[in-house]
Order: sequence, then C-alpha cells, then structure tokens
Amino acid sequence: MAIAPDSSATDDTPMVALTDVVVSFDGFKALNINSFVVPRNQLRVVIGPNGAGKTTMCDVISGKTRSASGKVEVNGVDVTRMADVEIARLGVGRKFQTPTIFDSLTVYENMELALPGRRGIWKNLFGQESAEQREAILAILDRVHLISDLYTPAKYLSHGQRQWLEISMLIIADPKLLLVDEPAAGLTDKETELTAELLNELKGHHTLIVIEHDMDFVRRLNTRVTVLDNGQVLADGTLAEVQANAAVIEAYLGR
Amino acid sequence: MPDTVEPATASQKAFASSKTFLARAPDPNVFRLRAIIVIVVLAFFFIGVPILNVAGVVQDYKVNILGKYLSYAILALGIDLIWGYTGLLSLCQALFFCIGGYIMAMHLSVAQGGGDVRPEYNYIPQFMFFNNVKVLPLFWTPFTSMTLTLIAGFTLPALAGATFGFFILRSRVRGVYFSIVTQALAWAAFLLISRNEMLLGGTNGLTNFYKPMIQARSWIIGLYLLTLVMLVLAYLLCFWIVRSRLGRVLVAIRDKETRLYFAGYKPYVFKVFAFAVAAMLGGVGGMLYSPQVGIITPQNMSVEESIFMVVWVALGGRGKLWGAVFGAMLVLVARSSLTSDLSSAWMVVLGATAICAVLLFPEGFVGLWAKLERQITIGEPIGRILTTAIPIIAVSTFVLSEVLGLTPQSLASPLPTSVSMGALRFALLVAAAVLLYPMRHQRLKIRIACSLAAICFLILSFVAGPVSRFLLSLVTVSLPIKYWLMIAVLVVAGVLNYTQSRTDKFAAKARGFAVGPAESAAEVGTVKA
Repeated sequence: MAIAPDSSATDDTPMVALTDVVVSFDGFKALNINSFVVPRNQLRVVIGPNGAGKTTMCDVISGKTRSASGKVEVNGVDVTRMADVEIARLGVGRKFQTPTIFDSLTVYENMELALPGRRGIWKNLFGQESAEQREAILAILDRVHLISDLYTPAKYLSHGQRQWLEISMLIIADPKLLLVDEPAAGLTDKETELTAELLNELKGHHTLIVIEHDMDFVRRLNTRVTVLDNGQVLADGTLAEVQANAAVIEAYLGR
Repeated sequence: MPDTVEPATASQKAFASSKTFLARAPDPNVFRLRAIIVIVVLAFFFIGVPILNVAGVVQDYKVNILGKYLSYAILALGIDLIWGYTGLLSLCQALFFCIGGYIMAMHLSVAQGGGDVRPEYNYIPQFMFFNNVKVLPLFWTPFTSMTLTLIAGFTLPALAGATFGFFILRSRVRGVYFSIVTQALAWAAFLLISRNEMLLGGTNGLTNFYKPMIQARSWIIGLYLLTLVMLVLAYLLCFWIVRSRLGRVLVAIRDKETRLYFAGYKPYVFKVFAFAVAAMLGGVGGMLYSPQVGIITPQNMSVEESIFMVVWVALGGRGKLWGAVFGAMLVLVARSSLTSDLSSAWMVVLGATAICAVLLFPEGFVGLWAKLERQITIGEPIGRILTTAIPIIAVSTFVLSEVLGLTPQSLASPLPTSVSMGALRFALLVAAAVLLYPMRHQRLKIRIACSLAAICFLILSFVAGPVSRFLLSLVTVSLPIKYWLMIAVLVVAGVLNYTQSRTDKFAAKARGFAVGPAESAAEVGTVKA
C-alpha cells in the first residue's frame, strides 16, 4: 500500500493547532485549551481520566461540536466554523469510540464506501472501483485478518473485528489527519499488538492523534504524549516524562 | 495430485480463503427456485391473464382492476426505495401519485371535452363548463397535447419531489420529524387541490374521460399490459439503483448517517435523489391509474391514502423490491374483498394488520421468504420448509384468485350456522383452557378471576340456543368461508412457525450455542466448502 507524503502545504505548518478553545455544555467547561499543537506527520497520544475532554477535543477538530470561542486550525485552514462534511473533505478521518460501521453492508462494501473520491450522485451510480483500489482494500483487510469475511454483513463481526474494520476504513480513506479514539478498547493482547503495528506504520506519512487508556499500548506507540485533565492540557512530553510529572501523578496515574 | 500454487495477490488470497465468499451467490436450488418463480409469474401476467380474459374465464372488469393495482405497485416500489433502503418514512407519496394522475386526467378530460352533454363546448372539460368557465385556463393548455402530457408526467412529479426534498432534507431533518413534515405537505396539498378556484375539479376531481378505456376489452387489456411493462421497467430501474454503489450509500444512510458525514459524504444529496426517484415512480403509477379508473379526486392524495400505502410496504417487507409489489397486491386485494363482504370492519382489520405487522411480523413476507431460502440452503427437512412456505403459498393463491375472480362460489358464501356454532363452542373451550394457564400465578385475586372466567366460558360453550346466537351476532359470522380458511391456515402456520423457532432456540441452548442468523451464515460456509 503506497502512500505518497503530502507535499502541497509548507512543512512548517502544524497539522493541528488549537488556540484558546473553549467548549462549554450548559455552563460546564468540557474543554478549555490554551494551546495544543501537533506538527505534521507526527503520532501524538492523548491520555487523561474519563471526562477530561479528549473526545470533545476530537469533536472540535472534526467539526462534530462547535467551540464557543478560540481558533481551530487544520493544516493551516481555519475550521472553527466549518461543517463536519467540509472538514472531512479537507482530509480529516475519524474513528469513534464505539465502532461505527454500516451493519447491513458487507465488510467489502463498508471499505468500498470509505474509498476516497466519488462523493457525487453520478459517479456513485455509474462508477466502479478500479483494480488498484480493489487490491488496496484486499491488502488492508488481509493485514487485519478480515479477508476471509469479505462478504459477511458487518453486523455479524466480533467487537475486535469491528474495531479493525473501522480502522481499515480510516486507512483506506487516506486522510492527512487521523483522529483515532480508543483503538485498543476491548481488544485482546495480540489484537492490541497488531493495532499498534498498524498505527506505527502510518507514522511517517500521516498525522495521527490517538486517544487511549491502555498504557502498554501507549508504550508500544513510543511517541509524544499529551495529558488532559478537566479540559485543560496538564502535561506534554514522552511517556516517561509524563509519568514522572507530579501533577499528572496526582490527577491521573497515582489514583 | 498437483500442488496448489500459493496465492500471491491479496485478491487471490481472498478468493482462496473467504469462507463466506460463496454466500454471495445463492445456493443453486434457491437460484433455480427464484428463476422458476420469476418466469412463471411473468408468463402468467403477460400471457396467461390476457388469454384467460379472451377465453371468458376472467372478466374484463377484473383485468381492469388488476391494472389499477399494478399501477399502485409502481408507486410501492418508490416507497420501498425511499423507506426500505434509505430509511426515510415519507407520508406524502400519494401526493406524487396524484400529480401524475391529475396530469394524465387533465389531458384526458380536455380531449374528451363537453362530450355528449354539450358537444359545442368540446374544447374544455365538462366540469369547467358547469362552473361557468368557458375558456380553457392557461395552465391547462400544455395538457391538450399528449406528448407534453407524457413529458410532464415523468418530470413534474420528480421535480416536485426534488424541490420538496431539498427544502425538507437540507436542514438534516430526520426520523419522525421528517415524516411529520411530509404528512403536513400531503394535508396542505389535499386542501389546496380541493378548492374549486384551483380549476382542477374541486372535491369532485377530474372525470369524464374517453369511456371505452374502461369498457372496451381492447383498451382494458392494452392499458393492463402497458402498466405491466412499466412495472417491470420501474423494477429494473430500482434494481439497478439499489445494486450500484449509490444504493449502498442509501443503505448506509439508513444505518449510520453520522458515519457518512465524517467520510466526506453529503447524505442529503442522496436522500433528495432517492426522494425524487420515488416521486417519479409515484407519478408514473398515477399516470397509468387515471385512464384505468376513469376518475381522480383529491381523496386519492389524502393523508389516509399515504399511510395506507406505507402499510403495503410494511406488510410485504422492506429492503427487497418485490416485497413492496407483493404487499401492495395483498393489501389492495384484501381491502376490496373485505369491504364488499364486511364493509365497516375493514378499518379494524387494517389497523390490526398494521399493529401485528409491527409487533409479530416486522420483516414481512420478504423475511419469510429469506427464511425459506435459508432453510433450503441448509437442507432442512421438507416439513419445516413447508411450514415456512405455506403462508406464502396460501396468501399468493388467495390474492390471485380474488383479483381475477376465480374464487369458487362455494367458498364465497358464509359459513353454515351449525359449523359456526360448533366453532364458537370450540373457541370458548379453548379460551377456558387458556385461562387456566395463569393458575400458577402468585396473587390470589388473579387466580380467582381466571378460574371464574374459565368456568363462565365452559358453561357458555355448552349452553345452546339464545346465548350462543347472541354471541354469534356479536361476532361477524356472515364472513364467507374463504376468509375463515385463510385465517385457519395462517393461524396454524403462524403457530407452527413460532413453535419451530422456539424449538430451535431451545435445542441450540442445549447445545450451548447462541442462535441467530450468524449460525446459519456459518453453516452456509461450511456446507458449501
């Protein structure tokens, strides 16, 4: 699966930049971030206790929730007031906390819908996927061990298979920024290993923000970690640094 | 034995290792069954019915009615497309049906003109001359030409659907709110068209077309065959749409619309498309309806009609196009038969059917057929296959014999009094037995109430004469035998199906498996491999 690195924007522009973003739900400040920057082609892990605002941050970046104030920039483009469809078309892909796939369609059809391009009526009525696209889909499904379930309707898949199907749909869409929300949730150790491998492979070519609770998984990813608590950025650095940080220990890891 | 070459590309691996790859193609027996049914049905309707009509077995007016039902079936296909596949319950499809119907009716009434009443006013429809309108209004003039009428009939409903759909769906209205808006639309249109000032015939609608269309055999058969051809074409169009990637996007909209937003799709574009196609199909159905029925009124676009149409698709089964056609035929035939035999109780039957369809029969006949296909694929014993097949066969036979007027007269007469008395006694005994079931209940009051009721029923079942006659008068036993036969067959088949599924679950639990379609899908793979 060949992925060409993006060369249209300047390499200095951070992929994601949140500045003074405040999201409040009926007065409760779910997110209150001064600054959160992810440079291009980096894999960033975001951890924090439940209710810290990690998913809300993903919501704000992908356009599911609108921030009350502040600025959200994706690849230099101001997406603070953009609709979710527009942001997705900019090249932002999202995996949700609970696997969100199309239950009535088969595994192959799910992947086919995630292919980039062809979002209009005409192309969807008349077009067919090209041979390379078909090969790409089958190659990814082969890696996640879903190749023998090509024509199984997605509702019959196990939880781990659903997670992988959603991750595969994300990968085949070839977005510039991937927001991966708890990819290892409910997976066995072996499955978690494979997921970490998949995400590590994407490191050099795509920007990833991974939300996770499983510390072993985070260790495998071996990358910079941001800790959120109560909607604010608590600490930033490698896993070792963060785990040594007193504030983090008090708020999260020590409990 | 030659060594198998190690599969190299991913697609070769897929073919080699897919355990449900062959599940994509149906089992050969199932395929043969489907092919036989399609060929027999098409041959019967295209060739058989006209021959029977010419031979005098099937009367002219029955063919005319069948043509009318088939034009409704075209509309039902549209409803399946927008509801079964896209998941949008539209309660205004009758409106688009009437747009097409009125367009054709306008042409037909202008062509007929004052007719036999006042031949000198033969350039305006009769109702206008009665309303003192002596000049054809401007918006009527395009419909004097058949070509323009046909063009308008195909495009205007689709345009209306696209416009309404655009405004309703653009704001991401979904679910119940969408249905309410469509219902409001239907109601508003009904009130508007009913007004005399609209010059569309007011509440009387448009009528007085060319009489031979519903009287002369050549016209009746011709229109019937035309409707049949249009139905087949409409089916092929829907089949093509549904099998394309766009069809899969529509299913995805039904399943998880939010996921599509984040995949970069604009679902409302696809929804508007499906809505417009459904509207066009409705318009085509309407255009074929007017000449075959001879009248179209605002009642045809009332809210009750739209809801009635949705019941067809619900009963026939969503998600497979033929279910809509089957459901439409079934409910329409049931309505015409029951209103002639029962008159006032039809609404009760319709309501009960709608409730039962939702509670007991949510997948409709499509689900029953899918179960039959599964049983054939797995190779279940013939007894179980028949249990699933009997309701389908019985209902199809009933529909066909009723719509073509082939029901023998003996079945159309009411049940003899002795039989109905005996049946009533038996029903009371069964009720008494059923009431003994809650005897295990903890609360004393319930036990006392049940035993008292059981004793009452027991006594009643033995007491002959006035009491039974009084009870019989409460129940409408003037119902002809054919309905009792159908009820008996359906109840027995329903009970057998129910016990079958319970036995399956029980046996599976005993073996330690969870029962569900997954099991049969896995079995399909292993049986075929």
